[in-house]
Parts: sequence; structure tokens; C-alpha cells
Amino acid sequence: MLLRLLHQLTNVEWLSMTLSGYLGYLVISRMLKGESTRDSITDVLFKSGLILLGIWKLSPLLLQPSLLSDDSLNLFSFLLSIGTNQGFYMGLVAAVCFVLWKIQKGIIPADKFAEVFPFGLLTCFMVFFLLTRNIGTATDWFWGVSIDQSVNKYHPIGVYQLIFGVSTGAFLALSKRKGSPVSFRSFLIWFSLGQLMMTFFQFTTPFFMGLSMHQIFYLLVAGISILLPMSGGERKSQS
Amino acid sequence: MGWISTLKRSKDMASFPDQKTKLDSSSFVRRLCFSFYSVRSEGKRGGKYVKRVLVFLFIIVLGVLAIYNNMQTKNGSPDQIPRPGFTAPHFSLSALNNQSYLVAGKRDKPVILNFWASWCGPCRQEAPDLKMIYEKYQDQLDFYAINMTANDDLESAKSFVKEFGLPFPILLDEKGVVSKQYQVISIPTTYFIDTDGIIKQKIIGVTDRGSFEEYVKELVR
Repeated sequence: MLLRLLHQLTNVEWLSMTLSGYLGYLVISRMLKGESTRDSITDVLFKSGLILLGIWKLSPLLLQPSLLSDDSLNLFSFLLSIGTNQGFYMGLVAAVCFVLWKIQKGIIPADKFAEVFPFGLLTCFMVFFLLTRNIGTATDWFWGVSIDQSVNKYHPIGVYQLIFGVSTGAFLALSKRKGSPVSFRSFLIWFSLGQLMMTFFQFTTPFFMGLSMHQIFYLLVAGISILLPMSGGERKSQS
Repeated sequence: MGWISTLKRSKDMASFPDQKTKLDSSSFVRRLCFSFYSVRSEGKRGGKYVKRVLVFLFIIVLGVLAIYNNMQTKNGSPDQIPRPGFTAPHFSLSALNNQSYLVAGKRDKPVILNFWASWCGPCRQEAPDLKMIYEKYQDQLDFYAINMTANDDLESAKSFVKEFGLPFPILLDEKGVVSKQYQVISIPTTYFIDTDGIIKQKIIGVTDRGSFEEYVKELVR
């Protein structure tokens, strides 16, 4: 009974997203145990999560301000309604800006944040794709999975995310142990390109120039990351 | 984070004309320009410039591959599963107007399926918006509101339709078969199905008029 309920609840994307985000947050909090910066970092992360949620939820109003002057519109429906995809990305950008602003103000240390955040992000992605039992396009490969008595087999995206997340996490941890930690910039490039390649096995809805919204986002993150200058630690490790 | 570290790099700053004076300004554009400059100078010095260009080219290649791949997979899967990217499960239901309606693969117009019940509060919130959108796009798409009659009272459903003056066909899922086929766990649930019979979007819960219209525009595009 409980399993069935969990199965049904995790079909609701935003519930799975909230749960996986919380688990990512817990991983970061756990990694910072005993650190003086723990409270400030977790506080900023929590607030950025709220910013993301708020903007996503109110995104229909933000994207179409003319709705506010529409007398026939029922504003109560906004409390019940879900946000838009564009709103999610707007919220994400706002949350990132908030974190950058806090770093700039010196409230959270950039190096510590860059050290723990990748693990939280990887956890979040792994849990989300496993919870939603995400599958991709049809495949003839032997590891393809069938769902709901389907005739075809499909790419197990959740498993791909698990392999990608665990191997990336292990590589990050090993590099740190060896004394040559992977820079946050390199992680972002690797992560976004990995996610972009994963969309090759997924059903996508083109949004702009034949690319889906996810793909545009990953390309932008990778492109911006490569243009950003090296951090102090990165330069030190190269010299 | 990157440009914060950039600003701390006094050596590079000194080699950039007038950078010292410009750094006092918090102008975003100037920081970004300086970041670009640093990438170039850094790369040239450390032999990393070529490496970055190669990675950049790799990103472009991946982008082109993504466009090509999207064109290949746009047809969706032939399996009838109620998820985006799959063929919408086939069914035929009779409606309040005693006509029979069919969803089975390719069709002339895209179709929207909205599962609802008369006792559902959010469905009540959504009804005026659905009516308005239907009236605007009825020439370009079909709209079937599927009443979950197995879990609803037919008379209440009729009064609901009368109260809101719903102009679209109201299909009656009397045995709950279609709701089960479409794995409806919460209402309202809405499916957007294209002319190939592929599910493009699935919305669990209420959505506001603006967002709903965006999905409709995407569907009829």
C-alpha cells in the first residue's frame, strides 16, 4: 500500500524534484559537518531553493504581466497551479545570482561551496531520475528496460544518471584525495556536457532552433563555464 | 565565482590597459569583458588556449548532434503508454451528446484530453479558462473533457457542464477504463496529443490560463 502510494506520488514531477533537492541539500549539509561555514552555506542554499520555487510558481504572472489586469482571471488558481518550464529556468538563474551575490559579499566562502556543491547536485540528479523511473527513447541494446508491458525496450535514463553521478563523484573525491582537486569550472563543463549527451537518449520537444530547453540550458552552462577565467586554485595547480 | 577570482588577479590587471581604474566600477559588462580578456591571455601563456578552443568546438559539435538527434526521435515511440514521447493509449468513449469519440493514432487535428470530476475543486477553478481557450482555438484542435463517471455522479456532472456552459464534448468514462489506461492519479490531469497521436505534454494539477495557452500554441504550431 505504502509502496503503491510512493510509486504514484513520485510520478508527480515536482514532488520528486522537491524530494531530490532536499536529499542533495542533506548531502551538502552532511559534508559540511563540523565546519564553521556550514550554517551560512546551508542557509544560502535553502533561501535559493525558496527563490527558485517562488519564481517557478509565479512564473505565469511574470511571463505574462497582462494577466494581472485581466478581470476574469481567477487569482486563486495561481495558488493551485503549477509553474512553467520557462519559469523554472528563470528561477534557476535567479537562485544562481543569489548564491553569487552572497559569495561576492563574503557571506559564504567560494572555495568551500565549490567543493561540496557538485556532490549535492549529482545526488539531486541521480535521485530525481531514479524516483521518476525516467526512461528514454527505444533501444535494441540488451540493457534496455520495458515498462507497462511495452513491446519495445527503452534507455534506462535513471541508471545512466546513477552511473554518471557515482563515477563523477568518485573521480572528484579521488582527485581531492590525491591533492589535485577538480575545479568547479571543469566540473560544470563535464557535468553539463554529460547531461547534454544524456538527452540524446531521451524524447525531447524542440523549443528553439531544433534544441529543447534542457539542451539549450546545458549548452549555455558549458559555454559560459569555458569562458570564465581560472580560479586561484586552478592556476596554482597548473603552475 | 569565476570573475570574483579574476578580480583578485593583480598581475593580469596590471597588463590590461586602464584596468586598475576600471575595476572600481561594479559594471557587469566590464567584468565580463575582462574575463574574456583574461581567458585569452591566460590561455596564450599556459598553452591552454588551444585546449579551450577545442572544448568549445566539441560543445558546438554536440549542439549540432543534439539538433540532428531531436529530428530523428521526434516521431516518438509506438508503445501506448501515457507519458510524453509515447503514443497516446487508444480508446473510444461516448459523450453526453450521445456521440462517440475516438483517440487512436494519427488524426487531422491535435487533441487535448482533460480528466475531471464534478466534486473536484481545482477542476471548478480551471473550467472557465478551459472554456475560453477552447473557444479561441477550436478550429485548430479537438478538446475532450473526460468525466471520470466511475467515481462521479452523472447528474452532478451534467449540472457542472450546465453551470459553466462547457462547449466541448464531455466524454463519459463510466467504467473507469480510460482513466486507468491514462494512469490518472490526481485530477485535473491534462494530456496534449499531436496529430501523430504522440503525447507532447502531461500536466497533473491545475494550470493557469497563460501557461495552458502556451502549451496549446506549442501543440498547434
